[in-house]
Amino acid sequence: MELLECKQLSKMYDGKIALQNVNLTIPRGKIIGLLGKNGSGKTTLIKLINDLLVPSYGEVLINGEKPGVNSKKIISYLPERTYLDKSMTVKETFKYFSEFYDNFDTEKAKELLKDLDLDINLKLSKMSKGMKEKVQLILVMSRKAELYILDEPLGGVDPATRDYILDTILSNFNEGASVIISTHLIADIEKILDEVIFIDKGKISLVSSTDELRNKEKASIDEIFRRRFKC
Amino acid sequence: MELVFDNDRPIYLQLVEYLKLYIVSGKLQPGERLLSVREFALQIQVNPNTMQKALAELENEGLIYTERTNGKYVTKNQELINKIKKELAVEKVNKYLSDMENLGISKKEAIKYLQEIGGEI
Amino acid sequence: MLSKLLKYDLKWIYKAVIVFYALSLIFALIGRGLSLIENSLLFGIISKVCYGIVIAMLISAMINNLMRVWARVVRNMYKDESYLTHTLPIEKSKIYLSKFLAAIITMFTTVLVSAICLAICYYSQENIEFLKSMLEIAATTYNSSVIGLLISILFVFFLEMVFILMVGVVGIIIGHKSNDNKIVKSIVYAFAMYMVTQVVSVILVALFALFNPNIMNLLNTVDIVPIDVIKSLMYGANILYLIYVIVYYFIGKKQFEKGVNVD
Repeated sequence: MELLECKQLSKMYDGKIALQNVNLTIPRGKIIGLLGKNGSGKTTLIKLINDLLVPSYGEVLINGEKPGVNSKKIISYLPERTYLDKSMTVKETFKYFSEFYDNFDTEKAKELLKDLDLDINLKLSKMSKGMKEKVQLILVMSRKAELYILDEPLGGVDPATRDYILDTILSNFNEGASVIISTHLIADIEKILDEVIFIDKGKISLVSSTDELRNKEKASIDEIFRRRFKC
Repeated sequence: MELVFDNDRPIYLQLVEYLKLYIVSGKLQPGERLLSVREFALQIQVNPNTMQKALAELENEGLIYTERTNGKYVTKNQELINKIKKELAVEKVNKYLSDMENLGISKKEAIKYLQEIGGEI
Repeated sequence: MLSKLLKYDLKWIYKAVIVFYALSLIFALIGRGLSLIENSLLFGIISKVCYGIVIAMLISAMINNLMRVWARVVRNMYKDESYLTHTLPIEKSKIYLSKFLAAIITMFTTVLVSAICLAICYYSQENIEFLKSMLEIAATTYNSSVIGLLISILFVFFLEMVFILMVGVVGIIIGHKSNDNKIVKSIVYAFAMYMVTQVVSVILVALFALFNPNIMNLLNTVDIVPIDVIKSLMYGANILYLIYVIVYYFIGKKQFEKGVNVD
C-alpha cells in the first residue's frame, strides 16, 4: 500500500481554486521537495493531508485510509506557524508530546535540545521566533514517524540556522520514513532531495527524481524551476 | 567530512568521485570496513538514498564489496585500486594539457612548465 | 486520551478563573470575620466593603469562566494551536467532548464557589427566616426545604450558564465554517440560537400553563406563590435546560465532526 496518495484532490475557497485535481503518490523512504512559489498551493496541499482542511473534491489516503487517528499517529508535521501553547515551558511541551504521541522519544528530544544550549525550563513566550521554530523542529523530528511533513522549514533563516535545520532533519528522520519538505528556497535544499514535485497555481506541474531531472536538463533544480516559472 | 556538491549534476555521481578519491589516496584503506549506509550518509551529511546509490555504483566497479552479514568493505584488490588511480591521473593530465592548449601552449611547453614548477616543489 | 486533553483544557481555563475564586473566598472570610466583631462601626463598614468585593470577584469569576471557555475553543480548535490539536491522534469527537466537559466542570465550580462565598457572607438564622417569610412558608415547613429550594435555584442557574456556554461554543463552531469574519459570525450565530431557544422556552411554558392551572395562576396573578409551584417550576426549568444543553451538545458535535478549515 502507498504511504500517501492524493486522488483528484481539489480545494476551493469562496469560489477561488486553491488546489486543482492533484493526483500524487508519495513512496516510502524518500526525501521529497514540494517546490512552488508563495501562494502556489503548497500549504493547502499539506493542510489537506493533515486534516486541517476538508477537500472540496477528491481524497487523500494515508496507508489507504482517509486522514484520521491512524494517519496522525504516523505523520509528524511541522507547520509554518508556532502551534504550541506559548505559556508552556520547553519541558512541558516535551511532556505534552510524549503524552499524546506514542512514538515521541523524549530522550532524543533532550539530546537535541542540548545542541541548542537552551534552558529546558524556559517558557516559549520568552523565546525569539527562531528559537521557537527550532524547538518545534526538535519536537517534530523526535517522533519516530513514517512521514515527516515540513512546511517551509527554511523560511527567513540565516545560513547557519539553515545548516542546523537541514542537519537536524537528515540526522533524525526515522529510517525507512519519507520526508516532504515544502519550500520556495530550492538552492538551499536540493542536494538532499530524492524527488521533486513542482506546484504552480494549484496544479502539480512536474514530478521527477532529482538526478534524472539534472541529467536531462543539465542544470540545477533551482535553475530548472526558475526557467519554468520565470521568477 | 563536509563535502561540497554542485547542484547541476547528480549528487550520487559526485559522491562516487569523492569516494574514489578517498580510496585511491588511502584515506579509506584497502580492506577497511565502511560505516553503515545511514551512518556514513549522516557523517557526510547527504541523503542516505544518495549514499546507497553511490555505494552501489562503487560496488559495480568492484571498488567495494559486501560481506553478507558484516557490511561493506573497501576492496583489497590493490591492482584494481592502482588501475583506478591511473585512470584518474590520466584524466587529470589530459585536463591539464587541454587547458594549456586553450592557452595556446604546446604539449612540449606544458611539460616544461611542469618540470620547472613541479621540480621546485 | 480524553482525560489528558481535559487536563490541559481545565488547566488553561482555571489558570485565570482560580485567582477570582481565591479572592472571593478570602474577602468573604475577612468580611464575615470582621462582622463578628461587635459594636464597631469601622469594622462593620470594612466588612460591607469586603462583601462588595466578594460580589465583584464572583461576577469576574463568572465572566472569566465564560470568556475563557470560549477563548479556549477558538484558540485550541481554530487558531494557531489548532495545527497541533487537529494533528494529535485523537478523534474529533473527543476533542469536542473535552471542551464540553471542561465547560461543565469549570462552571460547576464557579457556581459552587459562588454559593459557598455567599453562604459565608450571609448565612444566618435571621436571613433564613427572612427567606422563609418571603416565601410564606415560615410556619409550615422546615429549614431544609428552603435550603433545598436554594440549591434547586442554584442548579437552574448552573444549567442556564452551561446552556449559554454551549450556545457560544456551537456558535463558534458554525461561525468558523465560513471563510471570513469568523468571530463576528460566531457571535451572531450564538446570539440567534440563544434568542430562538428563549422563545421556545416561553412557548413551552405557555403550552404547559394551558394544562396546569397552578402555572397559569403564576402567570396571571401577583399573589403569593405556593412553594410547591415554585418547586415544580424549578424542576421544569432544570429539565428544560438539561434538554437544551444535550441538544446543543449534539448539534455542535455533528458540525465539528464534519471537519474543520483552519486559516
